[in-house]
Amino acid sequence: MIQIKDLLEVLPLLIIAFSAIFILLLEVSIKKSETVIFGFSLIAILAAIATSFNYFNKEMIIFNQFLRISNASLTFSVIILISMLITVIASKSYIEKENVNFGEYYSMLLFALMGMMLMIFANDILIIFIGLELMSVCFYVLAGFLRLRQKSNESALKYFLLGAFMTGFILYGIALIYGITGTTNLTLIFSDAKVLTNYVFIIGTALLIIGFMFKIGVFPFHMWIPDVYDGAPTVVSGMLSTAGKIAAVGTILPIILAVNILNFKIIFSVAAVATMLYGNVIALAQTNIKRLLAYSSIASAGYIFVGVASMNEFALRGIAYYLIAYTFMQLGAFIIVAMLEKKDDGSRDYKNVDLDFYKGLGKRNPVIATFMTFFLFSLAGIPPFAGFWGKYYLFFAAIKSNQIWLAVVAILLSLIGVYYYLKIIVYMWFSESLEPVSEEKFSFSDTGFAATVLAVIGTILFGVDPNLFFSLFKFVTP
Amino acid sequence: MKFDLETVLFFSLAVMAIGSAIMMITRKSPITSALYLILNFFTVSGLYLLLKAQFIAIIQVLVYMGAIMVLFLFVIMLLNLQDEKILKEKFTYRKITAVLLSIFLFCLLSFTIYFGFSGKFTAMSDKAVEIGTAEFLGSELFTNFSFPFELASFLLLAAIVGAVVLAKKKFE
Repeated sequence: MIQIKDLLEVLPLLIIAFSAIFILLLEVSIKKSETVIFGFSLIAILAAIATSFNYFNKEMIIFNQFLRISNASLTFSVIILISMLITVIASKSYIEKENVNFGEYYSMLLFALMGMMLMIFANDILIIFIGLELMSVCFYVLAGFLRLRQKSNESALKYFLLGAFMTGFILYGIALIYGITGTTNLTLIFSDAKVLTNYVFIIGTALLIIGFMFKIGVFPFHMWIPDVYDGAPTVVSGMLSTAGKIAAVGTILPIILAVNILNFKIIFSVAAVATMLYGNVIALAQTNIKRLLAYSSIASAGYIFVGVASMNEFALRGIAYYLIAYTFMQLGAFIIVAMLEKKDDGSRDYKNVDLDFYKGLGKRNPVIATFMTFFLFSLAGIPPFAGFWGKYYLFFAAIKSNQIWLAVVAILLSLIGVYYYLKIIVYMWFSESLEPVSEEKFSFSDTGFAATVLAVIGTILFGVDPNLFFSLFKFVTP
Repeated sequence: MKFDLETVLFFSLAVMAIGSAIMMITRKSPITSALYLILNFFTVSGLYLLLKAQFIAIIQVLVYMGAIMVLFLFVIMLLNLQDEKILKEKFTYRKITAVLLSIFLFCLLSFTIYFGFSGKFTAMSDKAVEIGTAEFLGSELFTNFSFPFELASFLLLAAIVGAVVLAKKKFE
């Protein structure tokens, strides 16, 4: 039974769930409600972040064992909340620019957020599945939100078809796990050591992991990423590539660590290497910046899987650190692309997303170019920025689990990545502008700018002081 | 064999099920065969009722007849499938697969029936019968599983809002 005191134990989730519904009511009851709704969703997410910190170091199993609050799940949920906060801030000016300024947009974002938090807090495969579907349904809608733009429709349809297909994998995996254990409760499943070596259970777990690998975008389940991120509204692409991936990683990682099937280690290592190789090499040939960032996000999924493959106590730290760094840098880069995008003129494709457009950006708009440079340096993993420490802790985890070869390969492959990140930086600062310099009008009142500043602060803060993260999220040094 | 109402119902439903299945695959018009498929689903849900699986019977009516068959009919009407010859030309490859699959299904079914009659599968326990009833499912959903049940309503709400936004929202 649900008890009232249980509700108080998951305040962040409760706040998000109720504000998602409340926004719908606001939308119908107030005229010109978009700004009110924007403010309301900001406050809701901030309140959720603030309340999250009350629950650290208090491990609890609540709601009839359906939810489990632990430090790891709280960490992932706070990272997702931060990513959503930046997304919401950046969205306001973007959806105004694209003429889709509807209150439902924020409602969809919050529903997706609720789904992601459910997945992460879940202690039952049933809840994981409902959360995953809640998240995915909202993602399909958000990807197709620019309804008059063919590219956005294409992206939503592709995402929906492939996503629905992969849901089948996850369900099949759940069915096998349920069939062999007779329960969907994760605590009960993991407590039975005999079950964990049963081959039916291993197949079920493998299917479950495959479904999540699709959501994370790991080779060979990555092919949807470039098309979807390319076609989706740019801010939404940023959100999909950060929050969506974090939710999937945060859900599957505790399961992988608890099941601890050592044979999976080599599979994860190979998948990680293939993903990094694919993402980094194909990104070299891209001329569209949204596609380039999409491939770079595939490469990042590869780095995350280097951590997953190490399957030791360092993996969680490394992945969590990389994910928070990744949130700031990847989302920031996408938001800058969104800000520089041309206003909607009813055309099929997005304007100003070619790499050529970025030539000479440093002369046209030095502030934005500087921020973009920060994000790209961070993505490339260059020291004073957060991305460096993210990779450092991931590769450290791999070395600690005696997979030095994996760490070496990962470092070599991330060197390929440096090339295409630096290419954009060179374009921005050392190439002649193809556009007339004075044409661009850019205002600092753009909410996208505020979001970018937040992302820059995060990128630098966590880059300068890595221990801040571990003390903030109460990580115990192993 | 006892000759009570249950047996009479079983055999009449079984005959109807087989009959409607045969009618379905022999009709020329796709719409007629879709309608026979609905009749087939209906008789099968009657069989579930006889097995005291009320919930599955209701779900069979709701999901298969209500949702899936309406989709089938829409697709048939939208595609306007009239000329069978055009379809037939593409069929050889699929025919082989279909034959192989039906042989596989036949083996599976005859295996099950053979063991069913030779008494290797025992009758269901009382508890297993109880699980299929609407009463049991209802009480589980509103007590032990109330949390996921509420969450499912969130999922449906989000899906409805999303569908309305994508399909109905007016653009200036």
